[in-house]
Amino acid sequence: MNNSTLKNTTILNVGPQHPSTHGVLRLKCELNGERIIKIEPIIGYLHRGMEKMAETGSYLQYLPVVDRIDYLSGFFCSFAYLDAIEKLMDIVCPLKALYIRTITMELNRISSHLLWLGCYLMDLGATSPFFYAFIEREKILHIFEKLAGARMMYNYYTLGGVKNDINKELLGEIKVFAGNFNKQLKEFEDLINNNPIFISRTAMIGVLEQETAVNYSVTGANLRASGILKDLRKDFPYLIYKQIEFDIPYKKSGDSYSRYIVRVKEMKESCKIVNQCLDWLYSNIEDLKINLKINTAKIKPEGEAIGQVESPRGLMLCYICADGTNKPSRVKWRTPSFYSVQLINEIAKNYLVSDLMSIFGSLDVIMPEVDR
Amino acid sequence: MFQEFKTKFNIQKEEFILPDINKFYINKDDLKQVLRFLKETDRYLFETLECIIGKDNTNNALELIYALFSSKYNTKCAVSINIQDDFSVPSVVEIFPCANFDEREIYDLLGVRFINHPKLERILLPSDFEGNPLRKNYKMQDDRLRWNYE
Amino acid sequence: MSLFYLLYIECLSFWKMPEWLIFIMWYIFNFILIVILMLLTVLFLVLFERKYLAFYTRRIGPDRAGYKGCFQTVADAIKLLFKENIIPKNADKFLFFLSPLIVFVPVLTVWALLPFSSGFYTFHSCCSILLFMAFLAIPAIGILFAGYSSGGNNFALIGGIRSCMQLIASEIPSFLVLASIVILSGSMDLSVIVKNQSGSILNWYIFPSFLGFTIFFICSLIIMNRLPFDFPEAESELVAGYNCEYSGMKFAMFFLAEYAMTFILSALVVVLFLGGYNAPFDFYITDCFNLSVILREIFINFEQFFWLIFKTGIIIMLIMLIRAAYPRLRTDKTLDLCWYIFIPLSIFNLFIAIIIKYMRGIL
Repeated sequence: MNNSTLKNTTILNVGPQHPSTHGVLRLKCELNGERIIKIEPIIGYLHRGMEKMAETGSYLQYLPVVDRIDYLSGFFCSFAYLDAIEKLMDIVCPLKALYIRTITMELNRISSHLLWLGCYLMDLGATSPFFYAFIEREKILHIFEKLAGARMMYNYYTLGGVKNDINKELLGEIKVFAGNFNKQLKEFEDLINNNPIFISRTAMIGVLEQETAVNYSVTGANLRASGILKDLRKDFPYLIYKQIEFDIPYKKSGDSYSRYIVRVKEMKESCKIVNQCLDWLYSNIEDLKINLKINTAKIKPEGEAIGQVESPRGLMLCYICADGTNKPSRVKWRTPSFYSVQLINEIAKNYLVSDLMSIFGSLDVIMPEVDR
Repeated sequence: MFQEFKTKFNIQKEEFILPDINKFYINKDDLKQVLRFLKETDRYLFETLECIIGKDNTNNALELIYALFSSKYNTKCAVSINIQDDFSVPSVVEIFPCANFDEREIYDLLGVRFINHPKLERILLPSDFEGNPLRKNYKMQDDRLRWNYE
Repeated sequence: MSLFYLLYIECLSFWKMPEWLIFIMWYIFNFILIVILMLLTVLFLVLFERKYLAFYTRRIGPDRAGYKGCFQTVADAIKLLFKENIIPKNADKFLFFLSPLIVFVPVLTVWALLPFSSGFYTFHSCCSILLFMAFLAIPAIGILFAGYSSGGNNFALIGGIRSCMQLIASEIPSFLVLASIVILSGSMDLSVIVKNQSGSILNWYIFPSFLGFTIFFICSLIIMNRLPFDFPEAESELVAGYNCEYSGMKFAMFFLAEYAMTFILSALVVVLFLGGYNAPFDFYITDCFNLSVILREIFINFEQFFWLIFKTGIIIMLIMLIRAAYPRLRTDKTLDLCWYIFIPLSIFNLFIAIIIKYMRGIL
């Protein structure tokens, strides 16, 4: 049938168009029957030249584009970029802006994890939890629409703070959502956590050893599900994470089931963080300003800086090299999914084709982030 | 903290990447030894290579920055090499396997060849693409983009 | 011979036709009736499934075509009729054309073997249960042909091979359970099995062999390629598996065959375990009205047909509920389930059936 008949293997081409590769990714799998021998991921179908684009415009002209590097976590990308520039220009944002940024980023983390949850379960074949997850996600997107004006590509952060102020009515909506969220999440857990079919599809599948994880520079929930407790919010605290109490969930086994459990627990922790920020905002809502009015003609930094953030998929890093003009000289994005895609060859060997979808879905890879 | 490292490899130039990340300039030939030293000695233990950043400084000189992270001491540092006329660099895939895709991307977008890389091919751009877009002297083929250069 | 046949012969005796012609026309008449029944059922079932699943996921389902979406299936069928008939370049044309037929025709055939009511029963045979299961094993081979003949498409091939795996897995436990039913009823003829369950609800075979009911129910899910066992056409893994390359009317035949098989297998489950067309109580509702003999017979048949459809509807709702709730199983886990767990349990069930029959024989 093809030129690998001598080795008794077949080549199965998963994608680029495939319902469950979460974007355009081509996985060239070499199979023996249904066992996987080797996988070669081929990326680049979604390369938009984000890094080169930054060099053609000024710093603030690039800001709306930054949201689109990872469309599910737009706030995180904006923050990483702005953090680097703020370090270069030595700007400190007002406190209220920091709290608003934290709330929006945590809500964004919840919405990104909800989408991951729905799509992962749909890949496995359970068609209903997808809709339940999206109902919750709709509530968050509704809040964002009232706050920032858009459901997904927000363009809400600016240099020195945020653009629009938040009012008491919106705070009330967020409080209602955060109050109900734990109950809705419990519905999910009742349906899925102890489901024997789900456990047989995900437990001990795609085990990621600690050494492999460190060698392949895995970060985020994938790393924490293998037992290594590393979270940027605790190691290098940014925004106001020093003053907030929250735990970092982790599990020791490193299989797909523990990645699922870790992400569900992360959602609960995000809810806790949102509640604590809401308390502060309720007491300080009137008086403070939300951004520094910065003269855009004076944005001419010089030097190199790194802005880093713990996005839902891992560590996102933005490196800016500035040379004193109003255009950046080099902007480099280190996106976590780029490194998860390399991982697929290591951890998916000797499993069946059905397991490939289970493993790949549990790594939470988003293709625009990989190709930029 | 880096005193022993600096004296061992005779590092002259050191800069800072904000916020407080040390960047050390080394020679191209010392690259693998430096990285292995930083990864394996107990005093440093930089076992994660977070990313490889390729930069095009002007005057036909490229710079590669290797950003490292040590979880035991909770510090980051960066190692940087300057590449002048001969654009070939030893590959560090044996030390840090995650450099595989990174090096292919730098080969693709900047045109640096990595010696001993397992599969050096274009990764983000189509395989019949000509040119290296991230270089400053890359002219975009489309005439409509001429405004970018004026 | 049933009353319907006698009625039919009487009606036709006005024309002077030779007897063999009457005989053949009886079967043609039945065939047309079954095809109409099947089309109506599939029409209703497709829409019902979509609305039912939508109810479970807090949606509405299709509601544009017709009054609240009634004509959705008709709209789908018309759309599929007008689609272009694409055949891949490397496809084996003869098998590509033949596979939908191999899948569809046996499913249509078994509708003739099922007793819909005491009069409406097309093909009388003394071993209809065996014929039923034998015919239902053929669509799996059709799926294998479909997968193989789709050119060099490896997805379709994997789908086809998986369907054979499922056939091998599910046939043995279901045949063992059927053996226990045959022992309990004493005959392989489906109409005799149903007649033995008449009377009250306690005569239904679900009570002596509840274990057999669960095993057969799950095995029938495997045979009809439904979630949680729908590997041959696993949508998110294999991009529609074996019917990847099919478009237009051929795809419609696969689609029709799947829903027709859902209905007829649920009807088989009802006939074997839940009393077929018998009511849960002992009398007929039509006996409350005073009707002449012929009219009473006709209305009793309708009433029995209603009971069959009602019970089949309950089973189908259960099947769709399982589809909404559970993820998909892995192929080798299905084999494990059927061989390691179901075969011992069905042998145990067989022993229980033998003991119960013996006790009933003594008492």
